[in-house]
Amino acid sequence: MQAETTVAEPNVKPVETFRDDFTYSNSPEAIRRFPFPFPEDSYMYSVNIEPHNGGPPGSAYAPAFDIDEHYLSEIEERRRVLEEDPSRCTVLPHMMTAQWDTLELLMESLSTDYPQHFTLTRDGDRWTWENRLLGIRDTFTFGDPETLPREPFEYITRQVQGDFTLHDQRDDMLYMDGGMLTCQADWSLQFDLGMNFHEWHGPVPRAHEMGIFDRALKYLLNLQVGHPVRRLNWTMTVNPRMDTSPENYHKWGIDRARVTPENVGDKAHLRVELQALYRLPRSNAVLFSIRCYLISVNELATIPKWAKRFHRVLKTLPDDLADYKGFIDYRPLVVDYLSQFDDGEELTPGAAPG
Amino acid sequence: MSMPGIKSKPVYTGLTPDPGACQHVLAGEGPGTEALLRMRRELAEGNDGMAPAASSVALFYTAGAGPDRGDELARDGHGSPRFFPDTDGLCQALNEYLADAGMGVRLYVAGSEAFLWRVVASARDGVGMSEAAIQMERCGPPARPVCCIHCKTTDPAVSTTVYQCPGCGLNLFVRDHFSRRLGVYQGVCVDAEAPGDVPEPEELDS
Amino acid sequence: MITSQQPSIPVRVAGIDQVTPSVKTFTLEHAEGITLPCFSGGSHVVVTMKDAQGQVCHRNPYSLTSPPDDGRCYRISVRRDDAGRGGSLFMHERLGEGDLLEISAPVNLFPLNVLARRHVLIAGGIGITPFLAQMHELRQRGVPYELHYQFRDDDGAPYRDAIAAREPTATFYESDRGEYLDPLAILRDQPLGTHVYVCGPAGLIERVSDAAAQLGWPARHVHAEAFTAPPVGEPFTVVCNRSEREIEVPGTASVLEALEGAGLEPPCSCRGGACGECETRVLEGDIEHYDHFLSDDVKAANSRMMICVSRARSQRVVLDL
Repeated sequence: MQAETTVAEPNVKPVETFRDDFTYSNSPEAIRRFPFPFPEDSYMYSVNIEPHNGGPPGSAYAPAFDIDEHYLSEIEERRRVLEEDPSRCTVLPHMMTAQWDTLELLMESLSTDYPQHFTLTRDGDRWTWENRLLGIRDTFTFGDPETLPREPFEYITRQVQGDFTLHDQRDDMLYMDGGMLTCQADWSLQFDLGMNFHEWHGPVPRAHEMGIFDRALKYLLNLQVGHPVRRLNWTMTVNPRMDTSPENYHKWGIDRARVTPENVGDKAHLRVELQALYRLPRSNAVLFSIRCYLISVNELATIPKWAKRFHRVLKTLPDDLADYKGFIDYRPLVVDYLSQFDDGEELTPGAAPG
Repeated sequence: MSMPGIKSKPVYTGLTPDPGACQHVLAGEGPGTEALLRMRRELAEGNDGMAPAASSVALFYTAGAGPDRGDELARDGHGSPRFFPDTDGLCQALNEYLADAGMGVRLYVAGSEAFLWRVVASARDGVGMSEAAIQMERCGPPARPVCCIHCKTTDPAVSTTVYQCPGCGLNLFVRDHFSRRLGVYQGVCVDAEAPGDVPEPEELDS
Repeated sequence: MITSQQPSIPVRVAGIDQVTPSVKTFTLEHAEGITLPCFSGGSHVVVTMKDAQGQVCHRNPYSLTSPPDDGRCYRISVRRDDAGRGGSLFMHERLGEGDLLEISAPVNLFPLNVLARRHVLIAGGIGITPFLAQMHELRQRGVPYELHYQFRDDDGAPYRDAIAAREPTATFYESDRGEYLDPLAILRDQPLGTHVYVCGPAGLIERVSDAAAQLGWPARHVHAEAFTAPPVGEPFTVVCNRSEREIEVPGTASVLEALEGAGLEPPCSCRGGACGECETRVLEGDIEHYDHFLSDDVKAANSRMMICVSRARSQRVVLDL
């Protein structure tokens, strides 16, 4: 964490919904700090990894794990998803050390970045964790799962926004041997559990051929404790729906057919994942945090530069990538809608709003 | 139908005696009989760089997906196979045998895709056998074990690109995405975005 | 993108023990009195040594031997090598209690396989060091293991008594008394799910690997600590293609060290030819490869080199740097 980085004081909203009546929305402050992923007018899949060591004050990049105005809503949505399908959080038995590593990293980071909301008190192995946003105060013995109400990984990730996966490193390969997945972009933890890095990444068009995964893997195998890295990924989602899981695809897939020229500005959302990777100290495993941000096209269009940039990116995106990302059918509607905001002026480089 | 980017789809090669191994074990079901007979002969005769294996190589057999050709295995003169009424019984006896074997043992499995992965999962999770010490030969028609991502029902032998899930009744598309842990392909609702618009099923070719 | 010139951890030498006539153990504490990161058994740190003028004179990797879950201090053991490049002599002769050093964060290139049902650890001499931390971990996890420890005489057997007192599974072999470990006998009757780990002289690693292969062990179950100390050789010239600089590499320094001495910061991590981080494209010149990372094909093609350990056979090499 860089010394000059300061973390925003999140003004946490009451619970909004990511399903049924979809009451989720972004405040003007949340829009301005949205991690807009396009520094240029066109997009191509790339490794784009950089150190995760802070960012501009108040931005989503400043804290290790970003807590924002949607905290209570996302925690409640996670609880509902797990209630319907407990297997969305699964960790293979050999990952217990990595579970404790995760708990320590999250508790240390949150209590450092947000001392007003979280406090960790360590007295040898006797730890007390306080989460004032959720009204939690638990004392437990670090290393003894019996002293927590749930296994350590599930206990702590139920209190943090974003999905998490745990990767064991063996035979110069990373294996996805655990995770908490309730806001994933169309992939299944239960199915992909135990897969190696290449199996799990599946059919990203051109990426294998470009050697992207080989290079990324080699890089991640040498990831060091205390030196996390991050990258952005993105797609589009209809409605502010967090749980676009394949398990429930038969329920939400129809949304894609219900986008019209009239509702596209409200229904179509840019979905950005701020992905960060941490080497865990005791287990030598890798923790992958996938923090999801949703913004409607209308909310995005309140920032003129972003409306123009997103219009150009979507217009020039190769078909195979639009197909892979699952929005090829309604892309023309979004492009048409955004064209009204784009006067063709040359934009300043970079993803900043102004 | 195959997506070239999918790396999880297993690639099967034929069984070949591993000259580095110290002990060989065969496991198979009906459709794999041809491969089992060939392996017993090759192991008994030896080949380049490999001395003939001990006169009798352990063989675990169940009729499974059929047809049952156990009598041919019993007659071929390379020792007595052990016969089992079902795959569960075979896996249990095989694990007892493997638990006494050492690190130099190789397991050769022949049969339908569902059978191969049930045996692999049993030996891997049961006695800690490394997948690096297991060879597989897929035999019989190209039917796949597929798990419905929505209701988790597994159909052990799906032979078309689209089928109806016996658990929840949804029409599923069979993806090439394969889980070695579960031993199944992924079936995903094919008409979620346009209900009732189900493509004509085609025979799976691999 | 990132280079791996990561910020280092400042430590203070809190204690020095002469374990055998040629081995010293150094206890290191965080210079600011805070706890050090926990680590996994088999991890090493790279120690940066500076001369009286504050110039970096050596950077050597050493395995951590202390309990991995104890952040109060780290311990490393250093065998004095009078014919080496000088790092171990610096540690033995120049370093005193209270001195400050810089170390990297722990990195593990020799991890235990968590799926293994049994672990066989084979050490030769100072090669015992990574196993000291790993045995702590295995005891804690309750996974079965056995240790076989080969050495020449008492001087070559650091920690022998401590291990004998604590490890009922340990077997000792003293070559001066005609005792030699027999890898075939050790590996012959191991059950499925066993992994073997070897750390020590190249000859021991080779004998264990050969025995495992002869007994039909899958290669993935055989693990060797792949570190190589950078060898001493003939001086040569490195030409950096992109920065258009010519840098002389003395006989006692690696290419990486010479480049760092000239103010460059090429990516690197293990400094022992194992991790692959400093892989560099070779545009001209013959390479004498000493690493365990590149494939034999790539080595033969002379197209890439690991600049932390490998050297030039020609008087001049051109690198894509």
